[in-house]
Amino acid sequence: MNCDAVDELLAAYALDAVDDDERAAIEAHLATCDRHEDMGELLATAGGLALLAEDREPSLGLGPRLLASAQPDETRAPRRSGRVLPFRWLGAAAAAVVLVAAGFGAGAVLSRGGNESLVQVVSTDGALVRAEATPGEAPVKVTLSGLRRRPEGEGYQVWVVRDDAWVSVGICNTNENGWWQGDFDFALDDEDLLAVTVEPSGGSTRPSGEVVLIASGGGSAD
Amino acid sequence: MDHSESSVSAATSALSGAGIGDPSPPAGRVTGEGEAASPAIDDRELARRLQQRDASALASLYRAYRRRAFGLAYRVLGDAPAAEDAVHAAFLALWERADRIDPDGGKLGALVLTVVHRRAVDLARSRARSQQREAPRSADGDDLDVDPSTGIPDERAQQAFARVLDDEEATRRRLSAALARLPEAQRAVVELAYFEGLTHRAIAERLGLPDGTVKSRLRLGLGHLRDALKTREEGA
Ligand SMILES: [Zn+2]
Repeated sequence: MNCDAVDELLAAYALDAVDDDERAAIEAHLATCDRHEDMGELLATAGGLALLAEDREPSLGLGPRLLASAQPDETRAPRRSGRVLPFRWLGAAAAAVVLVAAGFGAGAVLSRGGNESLVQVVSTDGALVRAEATPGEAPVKVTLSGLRRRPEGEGYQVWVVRDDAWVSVGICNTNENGWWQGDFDFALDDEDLLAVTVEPSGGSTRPSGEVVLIASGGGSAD
Repeated sequence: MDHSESSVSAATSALSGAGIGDPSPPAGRVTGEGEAASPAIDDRELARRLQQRDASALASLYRAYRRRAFGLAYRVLGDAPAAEDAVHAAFLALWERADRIDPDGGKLGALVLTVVHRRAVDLARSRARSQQREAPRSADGDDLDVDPSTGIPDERAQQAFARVLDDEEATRRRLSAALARLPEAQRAVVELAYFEGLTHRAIAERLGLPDGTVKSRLRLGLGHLRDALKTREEGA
């Protein structure tokens, strides 16, 4: 695509009114040609149109659904070749249940991904625990984030509340970024509810320290 | 199905992303009620945490921009489930490709809206395509050929867009007035493009106009809007 052709399409491009081939051609051109100075302004103007849409509140389940599908892994499997359908993965088949612990302001989501894995996320402002497993089978992959590293002699113990009893999943500590991920040799069940407490680094047989995250049965969405 | 008042507000606050830059755990029992207004989001810090794959940063980003993002997607798609899919895909794309976020690009909101718009437009078009191919029936997303890595604009674009959001209220007012002042022929094509997700060719087809006419109306129309925003910068 030459400069004139790009200029002719620049407004359409800024408004997302070009097809994929045109977009690719324009972007390839712009990457090597700096003669289209008004591009930035046109993009900015078109983007500003977003402000004319009225704000709307999405459904309660969307945030937990997003968190459940966001893979926190730092090293992930090689990317797919071909297409990936993020919406389909959590499509109609993935029932999302929002659990609320009224006293804690914690939300959790249980969802089944297309691969039949069970994902549970509990988050509060700034802190999050995520567990993913094949139901009834060890291990469970656990991620903590937004939790300040505990000092020497302490750790975060991950639990599930199962039939009103607390069952230990494992104990760990976060890094300086407040992050931890690893597998525990533990079989997660559908009905389990995640919790995280602060415990001595050897772990406790029942929770004794501060409960930093907990999901508990409450209202459910859909 | 039925939410008690408290569960709704509790779940909402569960996703509110206060505590940026303070990774301390919430103080157990005192959260949930009377949440203080969340501190202003520091976009640079948030971008950095997204790049570190800190999931609570994603929660913060979502919390800060969900209404605007969903409002935009809804405007383009016209139905809530599809709009939620677009918002979901957009935030997930930002998460997956956080490496492409320019931490100095200014407002993350601008980036979010750009990606959401692209996702919504992609979704609107694939929906239109599948309705053309077969008898209209409920699209379940199987035809959505969307590459999650697309839609994040380059750094230059991120910075340009961020500028117009520096003063959102003024931008909104001026754009809205300028849009209303556009000649009807230009306003129509701009709105069909941006708010209905049509390509210039689809607009030409819909309006029975030559493609070249549509492209030049888009140029003129968007040019007028751009000038209206410029006036702001020059005049105070
Ligand atoms: Zn050029």
